[in-house]
Amino acid sequence: MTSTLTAAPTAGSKAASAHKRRPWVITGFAALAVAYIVIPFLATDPVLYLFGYCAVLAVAALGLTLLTGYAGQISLAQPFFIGIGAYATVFVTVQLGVPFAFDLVFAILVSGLVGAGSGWLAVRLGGLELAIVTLGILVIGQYIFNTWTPVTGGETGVLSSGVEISLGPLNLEKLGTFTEQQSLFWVLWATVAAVAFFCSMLVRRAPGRSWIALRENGRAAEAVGIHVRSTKIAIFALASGIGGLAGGLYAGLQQYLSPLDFGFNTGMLLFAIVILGGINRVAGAIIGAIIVPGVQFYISEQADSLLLAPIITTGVTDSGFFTVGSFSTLIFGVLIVAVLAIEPDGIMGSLSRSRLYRRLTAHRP
Amino acid sequence: MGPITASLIPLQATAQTAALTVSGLSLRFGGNQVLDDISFDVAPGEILATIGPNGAGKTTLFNCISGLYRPQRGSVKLGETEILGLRPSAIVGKGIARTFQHLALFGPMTVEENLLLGYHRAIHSTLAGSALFPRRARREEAAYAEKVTALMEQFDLTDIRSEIVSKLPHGVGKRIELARAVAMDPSVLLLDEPAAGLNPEETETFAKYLAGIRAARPSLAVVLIEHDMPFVLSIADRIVVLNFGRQIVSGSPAEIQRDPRVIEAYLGGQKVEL
Amino acid sequence: MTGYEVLQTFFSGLALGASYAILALGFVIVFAATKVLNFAQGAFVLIGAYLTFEFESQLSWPFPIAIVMSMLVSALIGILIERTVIRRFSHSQAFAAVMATVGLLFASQAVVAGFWGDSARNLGDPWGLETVRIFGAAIAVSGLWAIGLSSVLLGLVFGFLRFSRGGLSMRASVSDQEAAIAQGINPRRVAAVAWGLAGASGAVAGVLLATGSNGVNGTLAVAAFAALPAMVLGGLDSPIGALLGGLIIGMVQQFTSLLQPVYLSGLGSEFSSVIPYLVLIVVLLIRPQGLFGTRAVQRF
Repeated sequence: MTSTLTAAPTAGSKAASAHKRRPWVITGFAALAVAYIVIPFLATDPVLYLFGYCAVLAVAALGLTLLTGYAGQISLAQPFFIGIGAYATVFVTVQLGVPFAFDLVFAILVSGLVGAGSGWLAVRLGGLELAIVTLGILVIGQYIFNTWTPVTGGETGVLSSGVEISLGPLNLEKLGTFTEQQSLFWVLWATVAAVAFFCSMLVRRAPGRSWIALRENGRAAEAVGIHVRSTKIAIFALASGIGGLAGGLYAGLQQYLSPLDFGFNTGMLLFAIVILGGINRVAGAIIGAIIVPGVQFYISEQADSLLLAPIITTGVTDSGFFTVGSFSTLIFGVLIVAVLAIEPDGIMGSLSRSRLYRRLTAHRP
Repeated sequence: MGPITASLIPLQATAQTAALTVSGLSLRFGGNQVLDDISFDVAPGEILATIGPNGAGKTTLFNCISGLYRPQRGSVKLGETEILGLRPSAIVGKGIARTFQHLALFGPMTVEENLLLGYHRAIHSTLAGSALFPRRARREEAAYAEKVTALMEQFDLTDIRSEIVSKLPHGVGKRIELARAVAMDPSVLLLDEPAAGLNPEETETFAKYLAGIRAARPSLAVVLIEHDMPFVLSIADRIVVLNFGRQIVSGSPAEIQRDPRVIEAYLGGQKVEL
Repeated sequence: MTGYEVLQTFFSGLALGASYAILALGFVIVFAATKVLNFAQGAFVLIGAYLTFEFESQLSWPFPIAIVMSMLVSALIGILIERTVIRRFSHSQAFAAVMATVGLLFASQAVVAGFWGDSARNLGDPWGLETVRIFGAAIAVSGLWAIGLSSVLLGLVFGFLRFSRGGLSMRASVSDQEAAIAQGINPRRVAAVAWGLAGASGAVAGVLLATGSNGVNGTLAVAAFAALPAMVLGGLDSPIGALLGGLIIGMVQQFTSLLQPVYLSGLGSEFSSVIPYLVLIVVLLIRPQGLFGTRAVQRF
């Protein structure tokens, strides 16, 4: 795949000199930390729930960023792995009564193992064939989720309200006197931060370099000693495991799981997220995971407003052309095309090339 | 530019000391006999040039040695170890590094990152290790970053260490590829048309870098494919001539220059300026 | 299982396979000409089906004219998409163009939903749910029409590729673009023609998929993806491969629908929907280069 993408920073020297960066970076992280602490006190429960959903999507999108953005393996099957993680968590928690922390490990392992199987298929296939086969895996996943009723509840779905995000005896969904949504916000976004740290450690070191090498030229990657087959299987297992983690968190966030949560539309939502945010940047997945559901939420909130009422039909005004759902589909369709045409590296790509950003984050001599 | 340290090197490699031994190598694609019974060996420290007209099978031969193609018959030994049938990455691990006729660098990565990839097999931190033991992984990365710094010094790449390689000129790309091959710590180095697309000045610089590599590691065996005859004659200890997948003659540059079969095959009987 | 059932299933498999072949042909032509895996093919299917419904049921045009008109409009939309969007991606990586077609699919799904709403519509095809008896087996007329229409369209497309000047430029451009350009063939025109053909074939496929009891509805866009395995089986850029791949998958799927409820009822009622992909995965495990492809097998 020849590419117009620029490589994300991976050089070891950069990591080593991170502590020498300008105070702007520290200020930025401090601002994020403050936001992390205060948002649950300021936002309403529905908004906090939305943030929780963003966090789950961010985790899943991080897996996709590594797999498709860095390693160049186009996979549409990520929602399938989220689904495996979610159903596995519900199954072992509700039916077997195992504590949540172990469930999450189980969810990650099961998704990772199935993911390694997909990676084994990827070894034999080129880019676009792989995209089609992973679409097939997604469809087969839908079939399994719809049919395997003892575990998934079939089309009617399964209750996941019994899944409490907890660490041993400590129920993280009810921290002290805080509400469930406040607690979930802190827990889920701490997880996002941990996964993002994990991913950024990987992408700037040897594994990240080997993924980019794989994406750019498999033959040349072998010629520098990268075992392409095991690298592909490993990155699929890793991305799917991260998807499984997202699924476990999703089971904790939601009261109820339906096969439709893990279908084609979720896959496309994830792609919209990573493309808007910047598919070859770890931070891109997180930014996209806030913006995309945020815009969807905004559209549904503002559907009856002066601006959108002429465009959107709702129960109140039915003058508009689109429903809320199809209007946000339209927006994302157009946005995806526009971003790809104008700035293929997404928001983060564009940001990291801007002069201001470079000046603020430049290394000290 | 004269032959480099030619007098120190044995003219004919012997079986015991050979760094690389190719014997009876044959490859068919469908009905095409692309390589037919190729046999030669290279002694440690020796430079062997492979020449022949276009389509003679030179690059195919390299692809067989480096594991990209799987020949139907024959054997390739690195020292005493049979490497035929191994994956390309495993062959790199055994100690054969190569460069490509058309550059095989990773376009959107920097010079430094491309060179770090040369050390990929040497870096021990695994997927889990890189993330779970960040301190150890950082130390290891830093150690190899230092090695890359030294390598960039050696190949005059320091000034462009942070440049994206796809934006650099072809000649520089050739040099980066050579440096990356050295990073792989090979005992045999395969160079596929290292001087192609270079002007005479760049070719001379390239020869200088190659001489530097050999001075630093005297036991390194080099096999190269080249069309630039003056370059080949000035640098090679021995020459193998291929035509239509067959090895028609091998010998010292002087012998090759005199051989009528070479003149016939290589230049179709036209006037020669070897 | 009776002989009649086998005959009946054979015909329905042929009909389904014919629809898949038409769909796969749309994917293949665009891929061959522009190296883009066109997810927006689903949009043509959707638009074609709804336009036919609109022309026939709302404007009361005769059905054949409704089909031809919706083919023309879809073809125009295809050309327009190529001119305005796809062309911008001719120099970027394959992934960007593919995702752009996904964006186009989203946008057109939204627009179609805006015009026609979410509820399923009756296509208004004259044959509806009728059946005829052939050798005693009840054969759906819609299936016969599917076979007939596909044969005509496939004949036209293959004729175009084989004998016309435009077809010759397309084939030349596919086999060696640089050489084709050197011969004075304009790759942009080739791309536009390919997208036009994809639009027209998508419209026909939409009509075939919406016929009978299925109705015109929003899921048609995703139903089109079932033809992707046929495309891969055929080797991605071979029209003949698409035809054979489509027929094979249609047959396997219909015979599975016949046999699986009897012999493997535990697999549930949805099982036949995953057949195209299962066939694909099994074939790729045995023959990574596809059934008809000549792709060199990589060693890693």
